[in-house]
Amino acid sequence: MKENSNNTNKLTNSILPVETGFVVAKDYFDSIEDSLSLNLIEESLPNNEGFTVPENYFNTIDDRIILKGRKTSKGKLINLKKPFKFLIPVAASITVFLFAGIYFSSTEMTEISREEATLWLDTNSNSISEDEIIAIYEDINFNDVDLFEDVINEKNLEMYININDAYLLLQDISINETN
Amino acid sequence: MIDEITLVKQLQNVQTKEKAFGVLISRYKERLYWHIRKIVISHDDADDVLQNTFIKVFRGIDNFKKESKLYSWMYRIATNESITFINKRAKEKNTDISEIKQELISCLQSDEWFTGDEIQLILQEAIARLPKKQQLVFNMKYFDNMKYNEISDILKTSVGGLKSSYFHAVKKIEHYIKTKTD
Repeated sequence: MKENSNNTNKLTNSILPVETGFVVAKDYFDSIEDSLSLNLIEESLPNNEGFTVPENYFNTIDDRIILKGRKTSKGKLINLKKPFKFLIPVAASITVFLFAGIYFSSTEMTEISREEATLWLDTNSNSISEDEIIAIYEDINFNDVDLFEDVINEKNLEMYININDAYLLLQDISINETN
Repeated sequence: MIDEITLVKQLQNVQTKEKAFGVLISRYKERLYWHIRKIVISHDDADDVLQNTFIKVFRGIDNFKKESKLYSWMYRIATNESITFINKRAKEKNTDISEIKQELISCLQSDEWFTGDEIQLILQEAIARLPKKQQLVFNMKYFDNMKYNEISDILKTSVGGLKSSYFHAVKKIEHYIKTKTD
């Protein structure tokens, strides 16, 4: 019996591999402590945020989205002609002034990034009056310039609407109409 | 249920686009809503952002290059829309983003669409105090049960980076909760 057992052991040792063949990721044992620690913390946290929604919200949202999509794609037309009439020359002249001012006032040429110029326009364009622009461009009659037709193509218009919130656009329009 | 490849083809075909859009909304509205809601907190704001997200998806689907999964692309749009919304709110109030988030959380207790208990409220406070990236990673990993490689596809961050973000986020949350409950 004992001899048989010894023979069996010799046989299995010669045929069967000593290693299991299992491997782990390189840093597994280094990271296991952190993983276990995270698991323990997660166990103690609530498993939902506590947010709720109105009844039937998810049943009605589909139609509202599709309706909104149709409205915005057909372009519920807002007449942007008046605000745009002075926006383009204002933007152009401000950009020219900005670069000219920097060129003449500094000994080194410094480049203004697109973002800096855009930010300046965003924050300062309202401070330039129409009279100031007209005073500079004495020989141009802005009333004759149909900028909307020449400059604002559908792609630019769509981009403008996408960038700017519709509510803020409507506010701008109502302010311009009042002025 | 149609597969993603077929759905994208239908969305990029003028004749089937609108019908396919309906399918898209139906399939992804809840997942996107809850992702957005965790960022903007308020239901009304989440509703607005969700609608804007789907509109952007509708408009941009022709440019979808299939380099990532459709859902990852949509999730990314939803994330950007949510962050833009919060940034805009901060700009309007002339404050910074972390203050806005604190303000939103402070309104939660009286919010009719929040039924969480005290610990859930404290958890939201803790999450609001995290850096933006850690907030996103924590919400997506812990609440949405997303895998790291899915999150990586959406946030364009390495899995290692995400694991690190998640680890730090959880530790900070634990610390905050302990200080509030001790």
